[in-house]
Amino acid sequence: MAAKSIGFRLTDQMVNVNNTNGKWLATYLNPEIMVGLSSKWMWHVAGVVSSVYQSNLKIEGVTTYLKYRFYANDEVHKHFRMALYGRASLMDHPVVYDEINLEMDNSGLGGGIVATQLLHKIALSASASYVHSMDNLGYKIPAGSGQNALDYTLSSGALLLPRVYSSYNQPNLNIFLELLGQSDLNTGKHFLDLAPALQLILSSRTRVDLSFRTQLAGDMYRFRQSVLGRLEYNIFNVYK
Amino acid sequence: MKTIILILALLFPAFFAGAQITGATLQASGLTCSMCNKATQEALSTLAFVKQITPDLNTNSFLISFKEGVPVDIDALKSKVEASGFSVARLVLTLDFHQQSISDNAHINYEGRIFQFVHVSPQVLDGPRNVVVIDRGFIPTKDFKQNLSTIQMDCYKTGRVSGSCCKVDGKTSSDRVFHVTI
Repeated sequence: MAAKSIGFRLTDQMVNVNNTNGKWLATYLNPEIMVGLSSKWMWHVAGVVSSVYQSNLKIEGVTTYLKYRFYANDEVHKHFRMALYGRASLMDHPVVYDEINLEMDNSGLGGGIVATQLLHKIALSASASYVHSMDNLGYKIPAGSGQNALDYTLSSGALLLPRVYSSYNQPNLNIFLELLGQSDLNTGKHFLDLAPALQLILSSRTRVDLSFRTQLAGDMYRFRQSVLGRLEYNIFNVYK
Repeated sequence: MKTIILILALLFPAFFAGAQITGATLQASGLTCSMCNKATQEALSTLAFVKQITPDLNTNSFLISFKEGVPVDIDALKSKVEASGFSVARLVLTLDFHQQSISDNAHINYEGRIFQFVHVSPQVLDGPRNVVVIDRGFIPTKDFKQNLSTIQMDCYKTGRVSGSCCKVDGKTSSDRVFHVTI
């Protein structure tokens, strides 16, 4: 993010709940604020509201994220960047699923490294991180559950439109394909997901994402499919 | 008094002819998309000396015009691009010369700032002319490292006046030197 810029983001992820509590189409809602502290530091804080653990929407918790870009090599239409990131979360609902998800479900801490290569209209990115889950507020992690896992992602994106720019107001269309996985270091359970996504950027300031995520392989008790929609609005040079 | 100044101006034209920066073309690197371009342009437009910016979204370039009478801070142009999260790939400044004679390694004093001409043949510059800044942070890192092998002056490495090559009266080692070529 640019220094002194602020972004507002709302993410809605929908999953099919089907357990002893019942069966319903549930949603995770993440209202998020993103701040460009400097050209190297970026900070996010988000609330988590969901209808996953009960059929009505309830405020579940909060999560915060900090990223530090420690390396950048820029050329015209190209860059290679590396950053370290960390996340801390606090959630307030029963711990039900095997997957450790600090963005939506679990209290805990995590940190990792990400590298991105931009080459003209293609972007490639890879990340690896360690996540540690902790008891949720008022709810302990069930005995026998894993609490330590490795997360890994590999993603590719391409700018499809416009082919030639003529104005800031032209919509930009990006397409993404991401592989996301987790391996639990205690239980040995894992998953590997595929997530194709479309991203529309409007007036060079507003972003709309639509993605679908499906499990390719794995043996964790978790949501194997989900659909995600996201709306983001950025304001540059908010403060001096 | 006026006679003395006139005689000094004739004897030392490099320091009295002066030059005014009227505009610039800046190309940013590390980006492709228009949202990144917009963030960079909005950052540049917060500079008090910038009058107008016309972007070229396909080359990530900005044609910048400056306000008359307001000193142009060249380093601030670079800082704003870097604060946006990107880098400067190329900065071309348009300077308005008045019978300015230059040669390789010649120094020009502009509003207290020094421009050193590099890799130029002896000539007289008159009217608006474009100069390319070749200092660290104004060209891609690999190009700057390549230049260090052929431009071995201390002041090119540091961007500041160095006793061994910059013989400029009244200037100390904290003063900035901008290395430019035509």
